[in-house]
Amino acid sequence: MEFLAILVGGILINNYIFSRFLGLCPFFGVSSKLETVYGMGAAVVFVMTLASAITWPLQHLLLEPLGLGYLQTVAFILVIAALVQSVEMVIQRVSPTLYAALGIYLPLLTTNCAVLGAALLNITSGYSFIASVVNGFACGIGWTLATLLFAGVRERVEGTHIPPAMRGMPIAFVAAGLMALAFMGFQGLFRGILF
Amino acid sequence: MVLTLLVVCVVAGGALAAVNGTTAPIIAAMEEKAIQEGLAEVLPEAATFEAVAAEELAGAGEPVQAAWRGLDAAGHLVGVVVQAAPDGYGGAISMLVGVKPDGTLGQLKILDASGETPGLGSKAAERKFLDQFLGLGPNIELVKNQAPVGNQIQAVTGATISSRAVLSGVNAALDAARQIVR
Amino acid sequence: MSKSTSNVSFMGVLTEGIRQAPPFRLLLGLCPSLAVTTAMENGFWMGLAVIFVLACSELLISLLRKLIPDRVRIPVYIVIVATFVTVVDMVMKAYVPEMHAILGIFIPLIVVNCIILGRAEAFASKNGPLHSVADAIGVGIGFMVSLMAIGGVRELLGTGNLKLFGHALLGGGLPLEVVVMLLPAGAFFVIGFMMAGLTLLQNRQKKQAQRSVEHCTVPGEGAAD
Repeated sequence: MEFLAILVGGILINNYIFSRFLGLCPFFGVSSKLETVYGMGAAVVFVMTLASAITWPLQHLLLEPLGLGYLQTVAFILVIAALVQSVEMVIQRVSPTLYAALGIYLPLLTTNCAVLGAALLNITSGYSFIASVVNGFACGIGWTLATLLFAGVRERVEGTHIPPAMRGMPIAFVAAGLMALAFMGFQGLFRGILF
Repeated sequence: MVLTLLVVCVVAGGALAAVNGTTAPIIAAMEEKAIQEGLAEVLPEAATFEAVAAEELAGAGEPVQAAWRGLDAAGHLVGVVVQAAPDGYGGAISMLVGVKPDGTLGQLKILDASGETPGLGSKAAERKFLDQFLGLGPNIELVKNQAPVGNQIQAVTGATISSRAVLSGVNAALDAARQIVR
Repeated sequence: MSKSTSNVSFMGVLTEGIRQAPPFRLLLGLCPSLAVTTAMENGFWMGLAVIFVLACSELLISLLRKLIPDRVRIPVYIVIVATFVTVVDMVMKAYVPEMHAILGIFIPLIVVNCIILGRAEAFASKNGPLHSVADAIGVGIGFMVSLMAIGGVRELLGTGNLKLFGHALLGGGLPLEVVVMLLPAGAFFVIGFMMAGLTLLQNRQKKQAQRSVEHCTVPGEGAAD
């Protein structure tokens, strides 16, 4: 039951884009076309889940027992960078077609605050190992959902008449704001279970 | 090549260990000071505070983290302070709850409510909301959009989750205090 | 002679950095721009943290740029930046704990702030230490000003007052409480409209520059760039 709450929480209630402000640069970067979002989204979900799975034991089995909690930031970001690099190499070797679709997005994930953010939040929320992995997965899905919806909106907006000063980024931001308002409706969705 | 990376990592690790060595004691001292100041604020009648052993808190609700008995100069019990950290909107709300020997509430102090939405949930950490709790007894209820009667408090408009969180912390503290005073 | 030109270049690099003004011009560092700007003072401290990390990182990277092999350069940059970020984290927790609690995970997230790695890659790895520091301070100040501007608008509209270091700047404050400004949606709106405003200003400047060119009587000699 707790996992269902984490799933819904990560996807809707505490959506990384509209609630927590994580992963915004790629959110605006790849959402100009719907097709690119699928590729980036798949990469995000995959890396976030793996990163959560690897950073949890790193924190709880290595850093904390040795009293090295202050090395958390350095250790986590190095692990994530290494993870992204390895994933890229593995995909390149195993499936060139998949690499052609996802390849360019992977290196960007090292500096994606959503990946590091999820790893850090798993620790501060005190999740167990499985809960952390579920949370990483859920937040990745949430990010992808938000970006998909947003890309759809942007494609429609492109075709309409927009004042010159608002074209491009400004109108995109306003659209994102309206979507953030809509997502606020999910607050308190799991009142008795989540909180 | 990898050697360069290794060297950099080792140097970095060493530098961080050094900075940590300097700042960690300052941080610990500051947290201790914040607690001591909070205790004095919440139960001004007490001259000294005696920490309550963890075993005595075993039956307390989940938000309860620690407790102290407040003693006056003669060593008589003048109240209990409970530290609770219920889950708020965006993280835990850390608070100190002062309880008089008769089980009614003394002062409340919020130590950390940085996870609440500024301008909305953060109002649940302000005096206007907290002063409602003075003198109330165990099992306080929350009401919305109406004046509170008896053992009730009114939630902050638009910040029900934060208000409820503070309330759950207070109720847990009152229950725990009842066990300790006995 | 070389000293005076390098001094001029220092200021030149500095002002160019300020003009880059993330997130408006550079569209980098979006996450903290939206997340921490619920108050002007938050913007100040976040900007300060970024200036420190950026300056130290760019300085160190610039000093070591000839020694770092190309293949490991990104991981090495990351370790350097992460180290300074951790230092800032610890120092802030010790000396400004309330602000540390407010900025929360966005302090460690400075390490993935695209501004830092971006400048390290684009500037520090190719320029001398003095210029790198100038670039860092310039971009950092630009970022801080942007953050304080966004934070200022959101705080003023959302709470009716501006607070800096414990002092309310507008006395009793204005009777404004547009709470949405303090919520995520408001952050998006404010940045969107501020960007539009800047574009408007820029378009107007371009038009004026064009008009003065047209009024120029000597053909072939345009107005200043």
